[in-house]
Amino acid sequence: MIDPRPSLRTVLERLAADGLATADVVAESARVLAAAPRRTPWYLTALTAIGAWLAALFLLAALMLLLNLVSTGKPPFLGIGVALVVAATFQGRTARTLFFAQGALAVSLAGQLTVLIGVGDAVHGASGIEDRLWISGAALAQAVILHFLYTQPLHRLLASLLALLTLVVMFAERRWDAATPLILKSYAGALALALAALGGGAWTREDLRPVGRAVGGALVVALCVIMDQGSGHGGGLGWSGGALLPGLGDPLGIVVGAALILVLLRAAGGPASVRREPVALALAGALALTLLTDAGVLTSVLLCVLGLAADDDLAWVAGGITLPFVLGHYYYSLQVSLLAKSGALAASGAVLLVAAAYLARRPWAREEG
Amino acid sequence: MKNAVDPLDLPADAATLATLRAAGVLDARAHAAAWAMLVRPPRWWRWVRRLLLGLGTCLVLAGAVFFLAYNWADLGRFAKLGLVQALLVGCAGAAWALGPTRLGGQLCLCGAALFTGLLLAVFGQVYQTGADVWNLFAAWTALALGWVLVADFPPLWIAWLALGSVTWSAAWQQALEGAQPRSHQEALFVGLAAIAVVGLVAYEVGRRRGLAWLADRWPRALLVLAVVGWLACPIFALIVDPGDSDLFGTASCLAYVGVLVLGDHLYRRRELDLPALAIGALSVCLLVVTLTGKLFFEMLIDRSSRDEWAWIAFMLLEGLVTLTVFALAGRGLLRLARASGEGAPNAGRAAGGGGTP
Repeated sequence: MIDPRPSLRTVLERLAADGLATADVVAESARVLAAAPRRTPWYLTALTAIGAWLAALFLLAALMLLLNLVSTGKPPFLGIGVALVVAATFQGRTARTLFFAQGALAVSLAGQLTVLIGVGDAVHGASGIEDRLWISGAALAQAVILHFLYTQPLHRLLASLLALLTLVVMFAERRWDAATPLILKSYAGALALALAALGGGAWTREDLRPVGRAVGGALVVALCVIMDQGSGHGGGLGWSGGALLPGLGDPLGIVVGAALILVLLRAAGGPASVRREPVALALAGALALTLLTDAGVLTSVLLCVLGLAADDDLAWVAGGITLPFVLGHYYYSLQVSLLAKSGALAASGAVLLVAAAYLARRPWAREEG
Repeated sequence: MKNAVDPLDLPADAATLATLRAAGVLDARAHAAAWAMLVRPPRWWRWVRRLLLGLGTCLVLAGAVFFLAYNWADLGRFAKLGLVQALLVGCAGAAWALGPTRLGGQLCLCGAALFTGLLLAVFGQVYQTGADVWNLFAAWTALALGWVLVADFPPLWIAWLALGSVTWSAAWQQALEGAQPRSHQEALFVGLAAIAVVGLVAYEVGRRRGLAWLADRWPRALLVLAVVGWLACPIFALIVDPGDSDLFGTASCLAYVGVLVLGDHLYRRRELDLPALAIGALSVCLLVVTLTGKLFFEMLIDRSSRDEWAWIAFMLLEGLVTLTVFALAGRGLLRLARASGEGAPNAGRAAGGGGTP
């Protein structure tokens, strides 16, 4: 397929011709890019991450067995975990081969989990809620510290993901009874807003991209947990219990919808862009989605939009893969008769087809497409 | 294999512009002007159009199926058959009107393929024949092929291959499994892999002939994943429990090795496709970790005693093996990526994000 984007050389030469850059901008850029860290293709990142996770599990199991065997009292999990993380940081910074870099990743993951076990062990005996708050706080603090210590994006991604998923596990604890859904949904809402803040522009900063991806992944997992917990009583994602217009009674959906609108506005170039027809239509569509669907559908669309806005295929693909599932869940959890459901399906499909036909006739669509 | 590529000749992307901005090569104004040149709108519109058409079609079709299900008991047999046939003819007519190779027409042909199966199911319900389910799927697969051939639409091809796989699984369960003296679990996987191989061969032949609608590479990755995944399943079973193996187990091992050799030739030497190679590498790594795990377990662990030192040694060895095989695979792929220019800072939107892990 032909890539519609201009080459970097073309862009730089045009900048120089417009007086926005110096004449030697091309040579200067070549020098900077030659020295810049080389980017790892996504499939290699995935392969490395899978290997590191597996190795970390083996290391962690060996460590736990060893501590159990040699220590007479309480094993010093916290100290050992910190030592492992420090060693991994040092090794990660000095590693010259992929083997040692991957080893650092595995040791780091094992260390991070050991630290969290150590924190849980240290506060054991406190009430269930305090216990979990301590572990959650430690996970977050650990991720923030490691973000600055680690220089490699995959380290940052896994550290952030571990912390954010730990929070999902902690908040999903049913011991908090009636407050559990509220806490989980508040957390998911906070993740959606963080995603909007990161993706609205800052995601283009390479150092924040792994954090953005981790936040997106944690948001999807949090929504899955909410769906799972709600599925037992037909609650679905919203507070409105699967009503036909869940957006009206679902604060989480409204928060994710607001995040979607924020990202669209930032991607379009700010509030002034609302006057442009495509932007106005996109915002109207986002508003309609917020009112008519639930947080799951909105999250998938948000990931797709972020992927397009921040030039990140991983986010785009994640949104595309989750969309059929969340849409299926949305229609499945509608508390209406089968006849009404078939009508809702056909009507919403027809609306989308009419919208596609209408948009295809707009002058800007014909120019762009 | 491609030669090393100058990053300046690759498409500009947001991350590269951010790198140049951070290095002070571009100031804020120049960065904003460069950002505006990235020509993203076509991608936006293309996505929105596909989303609206794809989702719209799926929802309308689902609505029609739900409507039939709701009124099923009240409908006479002629109404049942007539309604589904009307929907089938409607989809085919719409595809003809819109153009069978345009996106709208292709989606209508997907609907036609779906209603073909539904018509067969309704027929089977109205005129009870006592046939197995796999007969229905086999007929559906055969009849849907016509729509698939007309559509030139990779998602429909993939769906059709998935339908073929379901047919084979159902046939294996209902017709073949009971007829065999032993349960040939491996035969199921080899058959599923064979279906994916047929799809992959068709895809490669089509690409070689320059069919424009096969320009996307995602179907290849999906088919390679299916071939390697299905062939690896019996090998995992063979490693875990070698005593339960038979001729199909050996055949799947040989087929797996053959697929790897052929894949290496096709996707490393003839046309570099790193995601396809990475899928093969991942399967090999997982197989090696499983095999060594089994060997170490047999060597170190004495089931009659609780020797925790042996378990520790087992875990450490497995961790080391995991690190080694994944690092070796990663190193090989990284070299290929660097040589092809894929490791350059702006070498693709799909990059995993940042430097060497």
